[in-house]
Amino acid sequence: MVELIDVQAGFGGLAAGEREAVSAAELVAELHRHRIGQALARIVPDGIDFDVERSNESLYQACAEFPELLPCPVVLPAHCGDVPSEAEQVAGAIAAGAGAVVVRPGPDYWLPERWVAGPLLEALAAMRLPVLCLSRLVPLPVVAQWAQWVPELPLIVAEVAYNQNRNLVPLLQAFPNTFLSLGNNFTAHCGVEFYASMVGADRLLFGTGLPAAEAGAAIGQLLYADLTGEEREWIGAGNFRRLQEGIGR
Amino acid sequence: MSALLDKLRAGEAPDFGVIDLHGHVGRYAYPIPDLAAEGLLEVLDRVHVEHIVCSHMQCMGRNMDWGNREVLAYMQACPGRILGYVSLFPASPAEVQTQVEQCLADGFTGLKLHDHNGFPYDDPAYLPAYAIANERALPVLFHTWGQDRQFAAILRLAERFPELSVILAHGGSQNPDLYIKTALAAPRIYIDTCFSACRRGLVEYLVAGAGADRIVFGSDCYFYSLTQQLGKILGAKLDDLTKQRILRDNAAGILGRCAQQGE
Repeated sequence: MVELIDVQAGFGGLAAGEREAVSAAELVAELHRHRIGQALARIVPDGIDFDVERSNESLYQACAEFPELLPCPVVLPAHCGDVPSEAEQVAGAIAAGAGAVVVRPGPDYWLPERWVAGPLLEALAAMRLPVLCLSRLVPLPVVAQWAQWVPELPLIVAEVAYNQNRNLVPLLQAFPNTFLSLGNNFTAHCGVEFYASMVGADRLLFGTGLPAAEAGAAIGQLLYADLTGEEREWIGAGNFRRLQEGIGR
Repeated sequence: MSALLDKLRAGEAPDFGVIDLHGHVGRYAYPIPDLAAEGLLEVLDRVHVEHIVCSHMQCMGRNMDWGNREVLAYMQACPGRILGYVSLFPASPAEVQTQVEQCLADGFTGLKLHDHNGFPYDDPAYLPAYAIANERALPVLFHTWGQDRQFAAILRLAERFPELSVILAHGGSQNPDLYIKTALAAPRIYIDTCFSACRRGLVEYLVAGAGADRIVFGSDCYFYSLTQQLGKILGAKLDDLTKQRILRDNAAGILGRCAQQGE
């Protein structure tokens, strides 16, 4: 059976109108049901999550209970002194076992410009700690700019719409430090095969979009794709594992 | 445990032939990796889809005749596997009637309507098409996105043309309860499952509300990935018999009704 590690999952957050959050235990139960070995987990939904340090702490605590969960905390620029320095945030994330971090420029009130984001990106690049770039929060032109500034920093593009082929292919071709999560709502006809042929299977990462999305969708898209067994293994878990090996722990 | 989820996880196709009631073929504004009929057939074979009923990707504009002829070419390239929905533009009742009669003579299976052209589904120009489809008990697939005005028009049509098998596309994309309420308002209204977001629990919710016999599989391929949309059903928290009803049995009943009428 192909090993699967989910790079696009989460728990613990509330969307407006929701009374109960999906717990870490519920996420893990879904992983087990689909026989997904591990997940990079962040706090989702993130629409009314305004205290990064507190939500990171709750993420770390919950992930510590479940070996299936790798934390993906939020990091942000530290120019104002209200949060630890960029290097301290990165070191703290790595110490807590983070497999990547996520950034939220708009919701956390910062601009993706170099004079704001530069020190953060450089601190992340120094440790090669991958950054999850959700396309609703980090649009593709910003990903391209960051990929150019810090070519040694792995950037994982996620939550990409199904109709972005014209933009995603050149992005991934132009910047070797960019990777694509196949999680919700990436759904393109023969899309996995297409991207594997256009940019290489080593640039694709299995992701689901749990708990908002049904994991079977992403599983079907990968395991029914016309790929070699080796390509399927890379996308399922191998590529993410290689990114983990690159982190300066 | 679900044997069908096990199959999915092993990368194996279901044992039974799946029927996909919402497909598309042809070119679109964003690039589709493989436009060849043979390429689609290869996907159908890989995941054991027995039939897919398709309209053209550009099923909204004035160029319906061109699009329907392109669908016909796909049908002819894969006879019995790729079936066709007639797309319509309400230029006039006469034009609509001519288009439907010609396409049905060519072997199309049903109608697909989209209201992004700015015309409601009960626009008078469409009425000859519904009358013909009603006589033959054909499926009519309506693009819907949870809007009251869409469902109101569709319900008026279902009442006036009771032999139609009405399919509400993109079940639960918005206002899931309205899909359920609409489906339950008449005996032959079905909800299809295609939705890019694949919201967890949505298919289960539709089944619980409308009944498993009212939910049919649609992938919206080429817009969406057929394999991804199939995986969503196989992975849902439903028993395997329910999954099979969604993926095959209900659609087989719909296609069987129109085949009987045609004999």
